[in-house]
Amino acid sequence: MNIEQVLFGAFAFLTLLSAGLVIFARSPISSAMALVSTFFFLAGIYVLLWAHTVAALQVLVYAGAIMVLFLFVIMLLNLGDELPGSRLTFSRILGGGAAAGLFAVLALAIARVPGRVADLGTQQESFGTLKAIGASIFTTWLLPFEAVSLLLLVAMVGAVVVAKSRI
Amino acid sequence: MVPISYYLFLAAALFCMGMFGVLVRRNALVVFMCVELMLNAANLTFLAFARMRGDSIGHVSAVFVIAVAAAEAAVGLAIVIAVFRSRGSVNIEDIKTMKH
Amino acid sequence: MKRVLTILFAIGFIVFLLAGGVLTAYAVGALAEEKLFVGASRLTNVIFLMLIFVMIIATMLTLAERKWSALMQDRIGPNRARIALPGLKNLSLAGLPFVAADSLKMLTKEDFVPQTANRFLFNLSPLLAFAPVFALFAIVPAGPSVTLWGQRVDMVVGTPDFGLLYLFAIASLAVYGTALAGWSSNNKFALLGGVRATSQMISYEVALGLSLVGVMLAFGSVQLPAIVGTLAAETGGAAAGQARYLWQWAGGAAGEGFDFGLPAWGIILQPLGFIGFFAAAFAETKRAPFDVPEGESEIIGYFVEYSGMKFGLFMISEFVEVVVLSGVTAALFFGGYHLPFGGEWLATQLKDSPLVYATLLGTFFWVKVLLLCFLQLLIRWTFPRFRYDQIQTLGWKMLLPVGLANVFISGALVLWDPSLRALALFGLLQIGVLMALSLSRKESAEPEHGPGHGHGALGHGHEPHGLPGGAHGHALPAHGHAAASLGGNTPAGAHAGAHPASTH
Repeated sequence: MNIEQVLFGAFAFLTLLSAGLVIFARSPISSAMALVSTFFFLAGIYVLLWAHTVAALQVLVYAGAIMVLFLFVIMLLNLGDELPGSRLTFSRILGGGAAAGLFAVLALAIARVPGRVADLGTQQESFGTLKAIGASIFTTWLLPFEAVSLLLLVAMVGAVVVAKSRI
Repeated sequence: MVPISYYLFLAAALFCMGMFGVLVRRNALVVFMCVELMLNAANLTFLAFARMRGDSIGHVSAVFVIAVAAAEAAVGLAIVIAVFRSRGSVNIEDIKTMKH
Repeated sequence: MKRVLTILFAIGFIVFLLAGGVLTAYAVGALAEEKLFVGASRLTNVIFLMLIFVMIIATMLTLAERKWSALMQDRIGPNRARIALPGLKNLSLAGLPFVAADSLKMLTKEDFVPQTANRFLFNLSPLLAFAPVFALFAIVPAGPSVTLWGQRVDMVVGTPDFGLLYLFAIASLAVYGTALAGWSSNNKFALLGGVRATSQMISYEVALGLSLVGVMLAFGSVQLPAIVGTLAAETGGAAAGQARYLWQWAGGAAGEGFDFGLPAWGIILQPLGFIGFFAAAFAETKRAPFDVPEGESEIIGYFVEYSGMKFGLFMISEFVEVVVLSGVTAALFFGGYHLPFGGEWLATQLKDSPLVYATLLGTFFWVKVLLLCFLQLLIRWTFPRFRYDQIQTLGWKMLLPVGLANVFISGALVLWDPSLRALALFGLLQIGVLMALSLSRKESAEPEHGPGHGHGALGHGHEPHGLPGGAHGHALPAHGHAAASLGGNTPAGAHAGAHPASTH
C-alpha cells in the first residue's frame, strides 16, 4: 500500500460521495457546491495521472467559471428546494436500471483493458506540462483549436441572444 | 502504481451516476450539473488512456472537452433563464408546450 | 517639522523591520535545508512569506487604512486607544493599540447565526472567502535565489510549471465565499450583495486574464520567477526577464562599473496591461470604488448577518487581497525584487556576502509592495464609488476590448522585434499619452460639461442628474493615477483620466 494508492482511494471515494450528493441533494445550491467539491477531488485524481496542467485548467474553468455561473443563475432565479416526490416512481426505477446496466456493460469492457502502463522514459520531465500540451495544440491540433474558438464565439452570441429579454 | 483500469472504473461509475441524475432529476439546473459530471467522466477516461499510452493527445482532448463544456454551460444556462422568464419554473416537467 | 521627522522615523523603522524579517527568513531557510531535508526551505517560506509577512502587513493595513485616510483628509486619525501601563498611558503609539483592541473586540463578540440561515454554509463561507486569497501568494517570488552556507534557498513557496494559471484558478475561487455568504444568510440584502459580487467577479475575471497575456508574450513564460528574471552576475550567463536592460547606457555586462539604463520592467513594456490588470484585480478585491457588493450606504452587503471573528475573516481577507495583489503587481510589472538600475554592480560587490545581498533585495521587494498598497489605498480614498452599470460597462466595454487590442499589438511587436525594444517604445508612447492626458488642464473644456453631456469616448456618460462638479467620467480608475504617480506628480484627483471626453 503506497502513498499513491492511498491517495487514489481517498480521492475516488470522495469523488463518488460528492457526485452522489449532487444527484440526491434537495436544494440546487447544495448540488452545485457538491459538484464543485467533485471537481476538486477529480483534479486531485488528474494530478495522480500526471496531468497537473489539466487539473489546474479543471479548477480554473469548471470550479472558477462554470460553477460560478451556475451559482449566479441559482441565486438570480432564487430557486428553492425541490418538492419531495414519491420515493419510487417508474422513471426512477427505469433510470436506475439503465445506469446500472450501462455500468455493467462498461465494467465488462474495462476488465479487458491491458494493465501495462507506458514507461514515460525520456519525457518524464515534460509529460503533462503546459509546454507539451500547448505545443501539440498549436501544431498538430490547430484546426480543432480554431474550431473550438469559433464554437465559443457562437455560444457567447447565442447565450446573449437567448437570455436577453429584448434586443 | 494504481492500475489504469481503476481510473476507468471510477470514470464509468461517475458517468453512470451522471446519467442516472439526468434521467431522474426534474430541476433543469441539476440536470445540467449531471451532464457536467458525465463530461468529467469522459475527461477522466481521456487522461487515463493518455497516461497509459504515454502521449499528450488525451490531455489535448481533455482541454477541448473543458472548452466545449464551458460553451455548453453558457448556452444551457441562457436557455434556463429564458424558460424561467416565460414559464416561471425550471422544472422540466412543466416545459411541455412542444408535447402533444 | 516634527511630524515630518516622525513620519521619516516610522518609514525607517518599517523598512528596518522588513529587513530583519527577510534576513530571518533566509537564515532559517538555509538552516532548514541543512538540518532537515532538501526542499525544507519551501516549508519555512510558507511560514515566513504567507503567515508572517502577508498576514502582518494585512493586519497593519487595517490600521494604515485609517491612518492614511486621515492623512489624505487632513485629520489626525485614530489616536485614543491607550495601553494602561505606567509610561505608556500618554502615548498614542501611532494608533497601534487599535489593532489589539479591534482583534479583542472581534474575538469576544457574540457569534450570531440567524435562525433560518443554512448553518453549514454560513459557517463555511468566511473560510472559503479567506483561504483562496491567502493561497495566492504561493507563486510570488519575494527575493533572489542565493546559495547560503552551501544551501540553495529560493524565496518562493511554489513554482508550478503552469505559473500564472495557478493565479487565475485560485483567484476565481474567492467568489464562492462571497456568494455563499450572501445566499446562506437567508437575508434579501445579503443575497443582493452576493449576486452583485458574483456578477462583478465573473465580468472582471476575463479582463484579468486577458491583461496578463501581453506580459506572458513579452517574457515568453508563464512562470513568475522567469518573468522576474535573473541578473547576469547571478547566473554567469546573460541577464533575463525584468532584470535585463532594454537600453544600457553605462556599465559593462557584469560588474564593470555602475550599470545604468532602462530596465525591461513590465510597466514599460505593458502599460495598458498594467492598467487593465490593476483595475480588474482592484475590482476583485471588492473595495471602493468597486464596492457595490458591500454597498455600505444601500445594502450593507453580503456579510450583513455576520458578526465577530467571522466578519473579521471577511474584512481581513480584503486586506490580504490588497497585499497579495501588490505582490503580484510588483513581481509582474515592477521588476520583482530587482533594482531599477545598479543591480549588476550590487550583485558583483556583494558576491561574497549572499545573506546581505538577499536581505537588501528582499527588503526592496517588500518596500515595493508597501508602496503599491499605499497606491491602492490612495485610489480607494480618492475616487467616488461606481454605479452598478458603470462597473459592468467598464469591465465589458472598456477593459475587455482594450485588453484584446493589447494582446494583438503586443504579439505583433514581439514577433517583429524579439529584443522587445519596439514594444518598449510603444509602451513609452502609451505612458506619455496617458501622462499628457492626465496632466492637461480641464478649465478650457469645463463650460462644455453641461448636464447630460456624455463621455462617449470612455464608454459611459454623465447621467443627467449625476454627481455634479468633481465627478467627471471615472472610466479608468487606475488610469490617470497610475500613470501620473509614476511621474511623481498627482493631478487634482477627479480630473485624471477624464480628458479624452473633452475632445468632443
